Amino acid sequence: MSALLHAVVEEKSFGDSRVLVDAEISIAQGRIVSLVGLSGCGKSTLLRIIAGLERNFRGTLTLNGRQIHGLHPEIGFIFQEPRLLPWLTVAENVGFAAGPAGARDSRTTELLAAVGLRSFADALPKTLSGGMAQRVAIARGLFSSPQLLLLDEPFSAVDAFTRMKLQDMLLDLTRERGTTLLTVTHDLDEAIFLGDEVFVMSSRPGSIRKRIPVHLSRPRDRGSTGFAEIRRQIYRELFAGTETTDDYAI
Amino acid sequence: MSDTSFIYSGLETTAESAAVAQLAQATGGTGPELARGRRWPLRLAGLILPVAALVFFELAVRAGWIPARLLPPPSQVFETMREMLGGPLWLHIGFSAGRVALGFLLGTTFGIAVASFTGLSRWAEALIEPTLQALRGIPPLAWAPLLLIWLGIDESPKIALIAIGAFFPVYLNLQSGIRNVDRKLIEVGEIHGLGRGQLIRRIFLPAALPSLFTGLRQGLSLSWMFVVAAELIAATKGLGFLLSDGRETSRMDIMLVAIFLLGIFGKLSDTGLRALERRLLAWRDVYESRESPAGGAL
Repeated sequence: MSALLHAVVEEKSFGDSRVLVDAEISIAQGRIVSLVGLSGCGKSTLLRIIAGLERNFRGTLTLNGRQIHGLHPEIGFIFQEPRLLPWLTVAENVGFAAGPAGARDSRTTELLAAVGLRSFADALPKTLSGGMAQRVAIARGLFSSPQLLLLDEPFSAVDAFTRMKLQDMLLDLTRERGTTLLTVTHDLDEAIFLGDEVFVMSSRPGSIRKRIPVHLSRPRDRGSTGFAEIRRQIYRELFAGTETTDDYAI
Repeated sequence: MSDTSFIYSGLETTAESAAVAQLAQATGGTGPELARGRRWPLRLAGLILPVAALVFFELAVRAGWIPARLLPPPSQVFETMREMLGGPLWLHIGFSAGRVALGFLLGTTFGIAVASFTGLSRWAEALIEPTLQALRGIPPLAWAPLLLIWLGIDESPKIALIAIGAFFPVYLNLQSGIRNVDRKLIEVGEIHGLGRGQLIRRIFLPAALPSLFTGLRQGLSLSWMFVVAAELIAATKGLGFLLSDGRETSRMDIMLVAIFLLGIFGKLSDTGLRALERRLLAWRDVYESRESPAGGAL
């Protein structure tokens, strides 16, 4: 099992505060990893470093065995908010990577159909609901078929029902492409539902405290006992060493 | 792929999506008849004040409450305008409009060029911005006497004055527009591997377009202001010249014709620019472009 991504962040600071210290992540090709941690633990920062959006840190990033510096075409990113370009139509947003011709690209048509927005191809982002806009953002993230797709709390802004549908959609779209996923989330159900593995981060400074494998068959049942057992395990890890453990017991 | 599209087609038919689609259709211009029927009286409401004022002044002058040598009755002003339209009035209009067009174009071109430069490069900003801020403190009209000496009394000083007037609003608005482009959108460009040139063309410029239009409209209204100033100072043609000529020959009616026409053409050119703005910025999700069921803003 060769690692697609190997990231070692020895140190990342904002001013005087050290956000990440010795955070190390390794992801095998085609796997789905969920990254969870308490608010402010640096999980989004870690993701942004891997994406190349944060370049000021001490450490190394390796993709496919080669060291990379900064942004890389094989790494895609889906943000917490849709971040659609408001002056482009839905189709132009999806095909953004291909330039002005992107709207007429066959991949755009295919992806729009897959996310159920074919009839909105010529609509402007301002006419979309939050869930629809995020579906466009997912289609845009998959357009150039990156090997590694990073997601920063991608479904935190939509309602619970839409979120579950989007999770199904994301899995279907990325499984048929064999895309490797690294998802930052604060929703434990989402982390378990999506992930082959869940990485739990410690806080201040942040680093990976525990890797919890999720040996549940897909499609996963959010109500199963196995699911609940893993959730309990993550809770314990998240609050290990803090006095509030009991308050959060399930 | 067809399997997934079947599964998610369910998403598209939620009540929420349907409502959104309906809204999109409504903003496309096929609004309900009801809304259209209600909007007309609102538009006509704007005519009430000017018409009432015209009638009032007409009656007031005829009744002798206001001396006719201070304010000719509106009917006489329109009569004078009708006569002049058969003669040299178009020439004056043409000269003023031409000067505005040239000066505005010149000032705008420089404004856009310099703002792109200082907005996108910290180095250029550090070099140029302090000087421009200092020059900005000088009221553009203060340059007029100097421009007359430097450039003579023909067209060049007038156009230069208008260009200076139009330059600053365009420059300031576009520069701050570029500086205030949402970092989040820039990151989208970076993630998609855009280089510096593409980032400017595909993210910065479209994102700064609303600010540019704000500057253009301010610049255009200042251009009309400065064409009058320039023509009042030294000119033999133009609406500003008509104003000073009317004063010297005590022709109040001619002065009012000039003022009326300046208002008309200032408004017309702004309306044109606004129409262009609406077309190019239809993507903005703002209060103005929102269509409420009642057929208008609250």
